[in-house]
Amino acid sequence: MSTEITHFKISHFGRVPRKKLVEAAEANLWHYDSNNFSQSTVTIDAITEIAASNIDWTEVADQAAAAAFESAERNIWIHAAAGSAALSVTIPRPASLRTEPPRVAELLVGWCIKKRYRKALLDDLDEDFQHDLSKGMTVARARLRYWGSVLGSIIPQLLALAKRIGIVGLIADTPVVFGENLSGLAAARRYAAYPDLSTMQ
Amino acid sequence: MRQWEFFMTDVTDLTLIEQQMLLAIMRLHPNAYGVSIRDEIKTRINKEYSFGSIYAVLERLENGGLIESREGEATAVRGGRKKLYFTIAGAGEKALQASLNAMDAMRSGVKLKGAFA
Repeated sequence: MSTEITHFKISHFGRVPRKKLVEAAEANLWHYDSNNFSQSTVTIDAITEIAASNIDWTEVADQAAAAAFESAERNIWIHAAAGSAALSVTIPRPASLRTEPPRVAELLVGWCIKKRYRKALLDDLDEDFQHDLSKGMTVARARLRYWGSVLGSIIPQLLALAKRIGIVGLIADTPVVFGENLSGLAAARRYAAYPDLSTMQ
Repeated sequence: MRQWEFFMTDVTDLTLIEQQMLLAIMRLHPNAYGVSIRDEIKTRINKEYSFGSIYAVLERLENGGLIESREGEATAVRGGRKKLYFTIAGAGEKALQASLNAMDAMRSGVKLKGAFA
Protein backbone atom coordinates (compact mmCIF):
# COMPACT_ATOMS: atom_id res chain seq x y z
CA MET A 1 0.00 0.00 0.00
CA SER A 2 1.29 3.42 -0.82
CA THR A 3 0.31 6.93 0.12
CA GLU A 4 -0.06 10.05 -1.97
CA ILE A 5 2.31 11.98 0.19
CA THR A 6 5.17 13.16 -1.92
CA HIS A 7 6.61 15.95 0.15
CA PHE A 8 6.85 15.86 3.87
CA LYS A 9 8.51 18.71 5.67
CA ILE A 10 10.02 18.14 9.07
CA SER A 11 11.25 21.48 10.26
CA HIS A 12 12.36 20.00 13.54
CA PHE A 13 15.31 18.44 11.79
CA GLY A 14 16.67 21.89 11.15
CA ARG A 15 18.99 21.53 14.08
CA VAL A 16 20.47 18.32 12.75
CA PRO A 17 23.56 18.87 10.61
CA ARG A 18 23.01 18.26 6.91
CA LYS A 19 25.73 15.60 6.90
CA LYS A 20 23.85 13.62 9.55
CA LEU A 21 20.66 13.82 7.54
CA VAL A 22 22.37 12.41 4.50
CA GLU A 23 23.84 9.61 6.61
CA ALA A 24 20.42 8.77 8.02
CA ALA A 25 18.88 8.79 4.57
CA GLU A 26 21.60 6.50 3.32
CA ALA A 27 20.81 4.18 6.21
CA ASN A 28 17.57 3.50 4.32
CA LEU A 29 15.31 5.30 6.73
CA TRP A 30 14.00 7.85 4.28
CA HIS A 31 14.91 9.71 1.16
CA TYR A 32 16.79 12.91 1.28
CA ASP A 33 16.03 15.42 -1.42
CA SER A 34 18.93 17.78 -1.80
CA ASN A 35 16.99 20.08 -4.13
CA ASN A 36 14.46 20.93 -1.48
CA PHE A 37 16.80 21.18 1.42
CA SER A 38 17.23 24.48 3.18
CA GLN A 39 18.92 25.31 6.41
CA SER A 40 15.77 25.11 8.48
CA THR A 41 13.81 22.37 6.77
CA VAL A 42 14.37 19.05 5.17
CA THR A 43 12.05 17.60 2.58
CA ILE A 44 11.34 13.95 2.64
CA ASP A 45 9.62 12.33 -0.28
CA ALA A 46 8.39 8.80 -0.71
CA ILE A 47 7.49 8.64 2.93
CA THR A 48 6.26 5.07 2.54
CA GLU A 49 9.84 4.02 2.41
CA ILE A 50 10.27 4.81 6.06
CA ALA A 51 10.56 1.41 7.66
CA ALA A 52 7.43 0.13 5.91
CA SER A 53 6.92 -2.70 8.35
CA ASN A 54 6.35 -0.24 11.16
CA ILE A 55 3.56 1.65 9.42
CA ASP A 56 0.38 1.59 11.43
CA TRP A 57 -2.58 2.59 9.29
CA THR A 58 -5.11 4.54 11.25
CA GLU A 59 -8.52 5.71 10.18
CA VAL A 60 -8.74 7.25 6.76
CA ALA A 61 -8.88 11.00 7.04
CA ASP A 62 -10.64 13.15 4.48
CA GLN A 63 -8.55 16.17 4.95
CA ALA A 64 -5.97 18.13 3.13
CA ALA A 65 -2.34 17.21 3.51
CA ALA A 66 -1.33 17.70 7.10
CA ALA A 67 1.49 16.45 9.18
CA ALA A 68 2.65 16.46 12.73
CA PHE A 69 5.99 15.52 14.10
CA GLU A 70 6.97 14.46 17.57
CA SER A 71 10.36 13.57 18.81
CA ALA A 72 11.51 11.85 21.95
CA GLU A 73 14.93 10.83 23.15
CA ARG A 74 15.11 7.68 21.11
CA ASN A 75 12.12 7.67 18.77
CA ILE A 76 10.64 9.75 16.02
CA TRP A 77 6.89 9.70 15.50
CA ILE A 78 5.43 10.98 12.30
CA HIS A 79 1.70 11.48 11.85
CA ALA A 80 0.62 12.46 8.40
CA ALA A 81 -2.55 12.78 6.40
CA ALA A 82 -2.89 13.53 2.70
CA GLY A 83 -5.87 13.21 0.44
CA SER A 84 -7.85 10.30 1.78
CA ALA A 85 -5.03 8.54 3.53
CA ALA A 86 -3.55 8.89 6.97
CA LEU A 87 -0.58 7.22 8.45
CA SER A 88 1.27 7.08 11.68
CA VAL A 89 4.82 5.91 11.75
CA THR A 90 7.14 5.27 14.62
CA ILE A 91 10.76 4.78 13.77
CA PRO A 92 13.76 4.48 16.02
CA ARG A 93 15.97 7.51 15.89
CA PRO A 94 19.04 6.60 13.85
CA ALA A 95 22.16 6.33 15.95
CA SER A 96 23.86 9.00 13.88
CA LEU A 97 21.15 11.51 14.77
CA ARG A 98 21.70 11.26 18.51
CA THR A 99 24.03 14.15 18.98
CA GLU A 100 26.88 13.35 21.29
CA PRO A 101 28.49 15.72 23.77
CA PRO A 102 32.01 17.00 23.05
CA ARG A 103 34.47 14.14 23.33
CA VAL A 104 37.37 16.24 24.59
CA ALA A 105 35.27 17.53 27.48
CA GLU A 106 34.27 13.98 28.34
CA LEU A 107 37.91 12.93 28.30
CA LEU A 108 38.79 15.82 30.57
CA VAL A 109 36.17 14.70 33.08
CA GLY A 110 37.39 11.14 32.74
CA TRP A 111 40.88 12.27 33.67
CA CYS A 112 40.12 14.73 36.43
CA ILE A 113 37.24 13.16 38.35
CA LYS A 114 37.75 10.22 40.65
CA LYS A 115 36.72 6.87 39.26
CA ARG A 116 34.09 6.31 41.94
CA TYR A 117 31.66 8.95 40.67
CA ARG A 118 33.06 9.50 37.18
CA LYS A 119 30.40 7.50 35.36
CA ALA A 120 27.53 9.04 37.34
CA LEU A 121 28.86 12.54 36.69
CA LEU A 122 29.30 11.91 32.96
CA ASP A 123 25.79 10.46 32.75
CA ASP A 124 24.38 13.50 34.57
CA LEU A 125 26.19 15.84 32.18
CA ASP A 126 24.87 13.84 29.23
CA GLU A 127 21.32 13.99 30.60
CA ASP A 128 21.61 17.77 30.82
CA PHE A 129 23.01 17.91 27.29
CA GLN A 130 20.21 15.81 25.80
CA HIS A 131 17.66 17.82 27.79
CA ASP A 132 19.04 21.05 26.30
CA LEU A 133 18.72 19.59 22.80
CA SER A 134 15.20 18.33 23.40
CA LYS A 135 14.21 21.86 24.45
CA GLY A 136 15.21 23.00 20.96
CA MET A 137 18.59 24.45 21.81
CA THR A 138 21.12 24.42 18.99
CA VAL A 139 23.84 21.80 19.15
CA ALA A 140 26.54 24.48 19.33
CA ARG A 141 24.90 26.14 22.32
CA ALA A 142 24.27 22.83 24.06
CA ARG A 143 27.93 21.92 23.57
CA LEU A 144 28.99 25.27 24.94
CA ARG A 145 26.86 24.71 28.02
CA TYR A 146 28.35 21.24 28.36
CA TRP A 147 31.85 22.71 28.32
CA GLY A 148 30.75 25.25 30.91
CA SER A 149 29.48 22.50 33.19
CA VAL A 150 32.66 20.48 32.75
CA LEU A 151 34.96 23.41 33.52
CA GLY A 152 32.72 24.43 36.41
CA SER A 153 33.09 20.93 37.82
CA ILE A 154 36.83 20.61 37.36
CA ILE A 155 38.38 24.00 37.98
CA PRO A 156 37.21 24.50 41.61
CA GLN A 157 38.57 21.09 42.52
CA LEU A 158 41.90 21.76 40.84
CA LEU A 159 42.15 25.15 42.54
CA ALA A 160 41.36 23.65 45.94
CA LEU A 161 44.00 21.01 45.38
CA ALA A 162 46.49 23.62 44.20
CA LYS A 163 45.83 25.66 47.33
CA ARG A 164 46.45 22.60 49.47
CA ILE A 165 49.58 21.22 47.85
CA GLY A 166 50.73 24.23 45.83
CA ILE A 167 51.20 24.61 42.11
CA VAL A 168 54.57 22.86 42.25
CA GLY A 169 53.05 19.97 44.16
CA LEU A 170 50.18 19.87 41.71
CA ILE A 171 52.57 19.48 38.80
CA ALA A 172 54.83 17.06 40.65
CA ASP A 173 51.95 14.95 41.85
CA THR A 174 50.20 14.67 38.50
CA PRO A 175 48.73 11.24 39.23
CA VAL A 176 46.77 12.68 42.17
CA VAL A 177 45.33 15.40 39.97
CA PHE A 178 44.38 13.10 37.18
CA GLY A 179 42.92 10.35 39.32
CA GLU A 180 43.70 6.75 38.66
CA ASN A 181 44.51 7.07 34.97
CA LEU A 182 47.96 8.52 35.23
CA SER A 183 48.71 6.97 38.58
CA GLY A 184 48.08 3.64 36.86
CA LEU A 185 50.45 4.62 34.09
CA ALA A 186 53.06 5.80 36.57
CA ALA A 187 52.76 2.56 38.50
CA ALA A 188 53.07 0.59 35.28
CA ARG A 189 56.24 2.52 34.45
CA ARG A 190 57.67 1.88 37.90
CA TYR A 191 56.88 -1.81 37.74
CA ALA A 192 58.32 -2.02 34.24
CA ALA A 193 61.64 -0.92 35.72
CA TYR A 194 61.42 -3.71 38.31
CA PRO A 195 59.90 -6.69 36.52
CA ASP A 196 60.47 -8.94 39.53
CA LEU A 197 57.91 -6.98 41.54
CA SER A 198 55.06 -8.24 39.41
CA THR A 199 55.79 -11.83 40.42
CA MET A 200 56.15 -11.08 44.12
CA GLN A 201 53.52 -12.64 46.37
CA MET B 1 38.09 12.25 54.67
CA ARG B 2 37.98 8.73 56.03
CA GLN B 3 35.11 7.44 58.19
CA TRP B 4 37.09 7.55 61.42
CA GLU B 5 38.21 11.08 60.65
CA PHE B 6 34.63 12.14 60.16
CA PHE B 7 33.57 10.85 63.56
CA MET B 8 36.53 12.53 65.19
CA THR B 9 34.78 15.80 64.41
CA ASP B 10 31.56 16.91 66.03
CA VAL B 11 28.43 15.90 64.12
CA THR B 12 27.22 19.49 64.35
CA ASP B 13 30.10 20.49 62.10
CA LEU B 14 28.22 19.98 58.86
CA THR B 15 28.88 22.72 56.37
CA LEU B 16 26.06 24.63 54.72
CA ILE B 17 26.40 22.72 51.45
CA GLU B 18 26.40 19.42 53.36
CA GLN B 19 23.20 20.42 55.12
CA GLN B 20 21.66 21.43 51.80
CA MET B 21 22.64 18.13 50.17
CA LEU B 22 21.25 16.05 53.03
CA LEU B 23 17.99 17.99 53.04
CA ALA B 24 17.69 17.69 49.24
CA ILE B 25 18.29 13.94 49.45
CA MET B 26 15.59 13.63 52.11
CA ARG B 27 13.12 15.70 50.09
CA LEU B 28 13.74 13.73 46.90
CA HIS B 29 13.71 10.30 48.49
CA PRO B 30 13.88 7.83 46.79
CA ASN B 31 14.75 9.68 43.57
CA ALA B 32 17.79 11.64 44.66
CA TYR B 33 20.59 11.57 42.09
CA GLY B 34 23.01 14.16 40.75
CA VAL B 35 20.68 16.05 38.41
CA SER B 36 17.64 15.98 40.70
CA ILE B 37 19.70 17.11 43.71
CA ARG B 38 21.13 20.04 41.76
CA ASP B 39 17.68 20.99 40.43
CA GLU B 40 16.08 20.73 43.88
CA ILE B 41 18.65 23.08 45.41
CA LYS B 42 18.35 25.44 42.47
CA THR B 43 14.56 25.52 42.70
CA ARG B 44 14.49 26.09 46.45
CA ILE B 45 17.35 28.50 47.08
CA ASN B 46 18.26 29.61 43.56
CA LYS B 47 21.83 28.43 43.91
CA GLU B 48 23.33 26.26 41.18
CA TYR B 49 26.19 24.00 42.20
CA SER B 50 28.33 22.30 39.59
CA PHE B 51 28.24 18.53 39.38
CA GLY B 52 31.86 18.49 40.50
CA SER B 53 30.97 20.28 43.75
CA ILE B 54 27.92 18.08 44.27
CA TYR B 55 29.82 14.82 43.87
CA ALA B 56 32.70 16.08 46.02
CA VAL B 57 30.25 16.69 48.87
CA LEU B 58 28.38 13.44 48.24
CA GLU B 59 31.67 11.56 48.41
CA ARG B 60 32.53 13.20 51.73
CA LEU B 61 29.11 12.35 53.13
CA GLU B 62 29.25 8.78 51.88
CA ASN B 63 32.73 8.28 53.30
CA GLY B 64 31.39 9.51 56.63
CA GLY B 65 28.56 6.99 56.51
CA LEU B 66 25.92 9.73 56.41
CA ILE B 67 24.46 8.69 53.05
CA GLU B 68 24.33 5.52 50.98
CA SER B 69 24.32 5.09 47.22
CA ARG B 70 22.78 2.47 44.97
CA GLU B 71 22.62 2.00 41.23
CA GLY B 72 19.14 2.32 39.74
CA GLU B 73 17.53 0.82 36.69
CA ALA B 74 18.54 1.89 33.20
CA THR B 75 16.05 4.40 31.79
CA ALA B 76 15.29 5.47 28.24
CA VAL B 77 15.49 9.14 29.22
CA ARG B 78 19.18 8.72 29.90
CA GLY B 79 19.78 6.63 26.80
CA GLY B 80 19.76 3.38 28.74
CA ARG B 81 22.19 4.60 31.37
CA LYS B 82 21.74 3.91 35.06
CA LYS B 83 21.29 6.55 37.73
CA LEU B 84 23.23 6.56 40.96
CA TYR B 85 20.66 7.15 43.69
CA PHE B 86 21.50 8.46 47.15
CA THR B 87 19.60 7.90 50.38
CA ILE B 88 20.27 9.32 53.79
CA ALA B 89 21.52 6.91 56.45
CA GLY B 90 20.53 6.89 60.12
CA ALA B 91 23.80 8.58 61.06
CA GLY B 92 23.08 11.23 58.43
CA GLU B 93 19.69 12.06 59.90
CA LYS B 94 21.22 12.34 63.37
CA ALA B 95 24.05 14.55 62.15
CA LEU B 96 21.64 16.79 60.26
CA GLN B 97 19.34 17.08 63.25
CA ALA B 98 22.25 17.95 65.54
CA SER B 99 23.59 20.48 63.07
CA LEU B 100 20.25 22.20 62.59
CA ASN B 101 19.61 22.18 66.34
CA ALA B 102 22.96 23.85 66.89
CA MET B 103 22.09 26.50 64.35
CA ASP B 104 18.67 27.06 65.93
CA ALA B 105 20.29 27.37 69.37
CA MET B 106 22.65 30.02 68.07
CA ARG B 107 19.88 31.83 66.27
CA SER B 108 17.46 31.79 69.21
CA GLY B 109 16.89 35.24 70.69
CA VAL B 110 18.83 37.05 67.99
CA LYS B 111 16.80 39.64 66.16
CA LEU B 112 17.98 40.22 62.62
CA LYS B 113 17.21 43.46 60.95
CA GLY B 114 14.46 42.97 58.41
CA ALA B 115 13.83 39.33 59.43
CA PHE B 116 10.26 38.09 59.60
CA ALA B 117 10.71 35.94 62.70
